[in-house]
Amino acid sequence: MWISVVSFNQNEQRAVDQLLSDLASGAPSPWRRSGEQTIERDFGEEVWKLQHFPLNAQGNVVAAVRLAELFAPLRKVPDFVVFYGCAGALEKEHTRSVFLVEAVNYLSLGTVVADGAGGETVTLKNKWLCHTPPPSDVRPLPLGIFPLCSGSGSFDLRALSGLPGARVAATDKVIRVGRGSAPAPTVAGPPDTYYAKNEWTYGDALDFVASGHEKILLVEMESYGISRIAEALNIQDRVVVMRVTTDALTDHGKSDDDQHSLLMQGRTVLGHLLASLFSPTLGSA
Amino acid sequence: MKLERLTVEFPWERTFEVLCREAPAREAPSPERAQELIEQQRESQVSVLSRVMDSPLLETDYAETSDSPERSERPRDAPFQLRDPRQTSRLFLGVAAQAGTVLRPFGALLLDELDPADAMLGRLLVVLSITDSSSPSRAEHADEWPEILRRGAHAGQALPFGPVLTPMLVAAGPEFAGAYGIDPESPWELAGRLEATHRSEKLAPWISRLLREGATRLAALSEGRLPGPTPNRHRGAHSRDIVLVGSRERGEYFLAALKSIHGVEAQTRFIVESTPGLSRIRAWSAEPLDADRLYAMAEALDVKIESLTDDTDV
Repeated sequence: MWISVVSFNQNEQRAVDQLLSDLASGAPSPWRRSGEQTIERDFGEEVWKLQHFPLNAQGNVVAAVRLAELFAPLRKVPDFVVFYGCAGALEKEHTRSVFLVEAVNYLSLGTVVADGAGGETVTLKNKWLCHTPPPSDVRPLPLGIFPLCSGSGSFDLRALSGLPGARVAATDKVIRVGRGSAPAPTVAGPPDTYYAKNEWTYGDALDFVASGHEKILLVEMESYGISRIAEALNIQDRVVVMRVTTDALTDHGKSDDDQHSLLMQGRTVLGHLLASLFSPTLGSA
Repeated sequence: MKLERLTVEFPWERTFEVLCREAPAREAPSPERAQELIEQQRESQVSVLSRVMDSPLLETDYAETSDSPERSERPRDAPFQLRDPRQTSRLFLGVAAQAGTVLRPFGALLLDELDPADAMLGRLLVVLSITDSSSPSRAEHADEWPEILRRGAHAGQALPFGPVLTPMLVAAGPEFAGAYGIDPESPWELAGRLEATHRSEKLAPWISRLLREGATRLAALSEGRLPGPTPNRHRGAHSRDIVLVGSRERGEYFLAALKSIHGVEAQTRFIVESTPGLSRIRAWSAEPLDADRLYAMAEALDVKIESLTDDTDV
């Protein structure tokens, strides 16, 4: 059994490094170092391996590329890949929490214009988020799915680990606006609900995504790239994203030290998740 | 869930102990235990498929609406649609391979002590677990497949490899069903079982595609190779020309709905029509498109179908 853990920024990297050190801490732990970023142990006739890939970078593209590299042809591939990182929560009450990503929308494609006062205004083209007329023009981007964490995989990791799931809005920018109010649809389904083609603010888009379900909504910058490359490579049932919510969208006051502290705390929950993946039988024992 | 609560609920000391625990003593293989595991796998095939065949939708898509035919009686916390058949077959066969991994220690000889159908399902799962992995020994087990299929088919059961694996194997080669006496209608039994949890008019064509995708994967594995990457979409095997009366805008809604049907290919599109007030759509699909369904869909979308060509096998 081989699990790869991918981290993004330095705080996440330190947390995962520390987790590996916690495990390979010498006797009586059976875990041993096998390189700078890898630990392993014997488990009966198997070898369990835990390998850390610190990206030191962020973004949907970078994360997707890392995942694709891990599953490149002619190399031994991991049984599971776990992405560990922080996220912003739409609602403040959901900060300082841990979630498994179930599904993800992509909120990025849009327009930047000068606002006339020396600044710039960014908006999103809603045609990539929802159905807009005419139907033959474009199709909205499909939802990214993580089957293991949304109850439609070979097993349900939420039930197995006891960790909750959340929906993600993935962006390529740091979002510091709260929930707005998405316009009403112009044509109701079935089969599809249509909205007037328009530019939406991030607040509108967040409201649109948050209104469609009862899930907690997080914002981060990698899950869409990860989910779509996993789908393309047909490895969706091997990929998990775990997020520690370190701040709220409209409350970015947390310091780097706070983020570091929360991610360090979160590493023990990451350890619990890994135990669930390494051996479901052991994890539930 | 709050981090503080999680660290209490899952304390590090407990996690460390679990991750450092010794491997449990290997269970002494016995025919009774093997039989129990194989029966469990056979009986769980439909429920596993039922779980992995769903995929969430965009928020506004129609599965969420109250009168949608996709809506299931099962409790849901998110809208769902039928997952791509290729991905579903891979997930299903992945779970089957996991069962085979558990059965490996029982060995071929031990498995052969069982009822013939159970023995062959057990051996199929074991071989699947080996060939579905990246093991270099994959090709060495390729020659076991024909013998397993032959002996399983002669085991005297209608569905010797279970309600999902059997029709997948039938789809891999109809001669398999014919030559060995397996019920060639077994896909319809599977459809009947799934209808209990998935009420959708898309189900029957979706099952056909699922079985073909599963068969393709099984055929590749039985030849000692891993299935290749997803090929580009190819043109569907069937086509219809649909002439609509009314505005192009209404026609576009109809086209979008048409393309959302499973098996309808992406290149389905408007064909230039010289007569004003008419729109002509050419639909390509993997399965024949039911005319009654098209008329019902047009009525729901307030579009009139002027004419509809017969389904053409292309």
